Amino acid sequence: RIYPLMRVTLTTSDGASVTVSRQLTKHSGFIEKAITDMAVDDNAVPLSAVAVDVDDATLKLVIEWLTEHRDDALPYPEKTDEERRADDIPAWDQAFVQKWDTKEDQQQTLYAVITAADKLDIKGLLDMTCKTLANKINGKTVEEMREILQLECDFTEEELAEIRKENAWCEN
Amino acid sequence: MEDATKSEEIIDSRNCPFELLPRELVWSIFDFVPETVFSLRSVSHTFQSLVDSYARMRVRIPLVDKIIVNTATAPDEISITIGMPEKETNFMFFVDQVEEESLSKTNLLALRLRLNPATAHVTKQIPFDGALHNISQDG
Repeated sequence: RIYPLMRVTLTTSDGASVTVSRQLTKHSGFIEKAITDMAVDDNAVPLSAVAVDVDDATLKLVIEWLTEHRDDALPYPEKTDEERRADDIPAWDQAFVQKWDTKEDQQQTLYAVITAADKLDIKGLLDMTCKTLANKINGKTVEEMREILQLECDFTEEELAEIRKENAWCEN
Repeated sequence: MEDATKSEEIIDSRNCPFELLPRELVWSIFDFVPETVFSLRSVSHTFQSLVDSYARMRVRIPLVDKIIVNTATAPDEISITIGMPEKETNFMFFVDQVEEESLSKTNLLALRLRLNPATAHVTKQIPFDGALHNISQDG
């Protein structure tokens, strides 16, 4: 049972405190488990603060996403292999990511939000951000992928030739 | 499932944030773009390792949704209907056409065959010429 009016204080990895509605935190498996572990009953408010291993700036983005998705159905529907696709990100989510996923940012925020969603066990946010990253890679050349992933080629010419041979085996 | 799938395990890396993600997350991202496996394994040593372990780990690679065999259309005729996953709208059943299209999960399946020692015993049949072609690691 969830008490929507109950508020939960979260302390971030950089020492900030944020108080949010339980209506939002119910989407986080990590926070819900922490609250359950406190063994609170209907009237046991205020709760002790829940420490999250996420910095304040990233948590603010997570809360913004949670606020928009506060009424999403729970549990988050598991997708089968056949249902997994990356081209169905809702318009609001796309606009949300575009606000901060700039070229200058070099996807640092995107990686931070993916990691936060994983740590906080927010399946909807994790799914959406993983799709976003997958879409960046999809259809790109190897060189473009290296640029997106911020990697240098560490293969020797001989190793690259061997990989091309292996890939050709698969393609022929 | 292999030990390597433990969420605590991360890949040793200093520069690329992608490589710092837990391996389970990396694989879930690859799940969305299985058609990119050949390019991804050419990116770096770490990515080659990630993709190859992903290809080996994948237990089930769905290429078709359903196959319906109907023998009721005519006494001397068998009708076969193949239902394709929505994403693979251009998927063709014949092996040689699959390769020409080089689409989505067929790449992952091919890579998995390449990385699996058991492929020495696998044969594939190209329907047009009816010939059996051995798939070997030396091919």
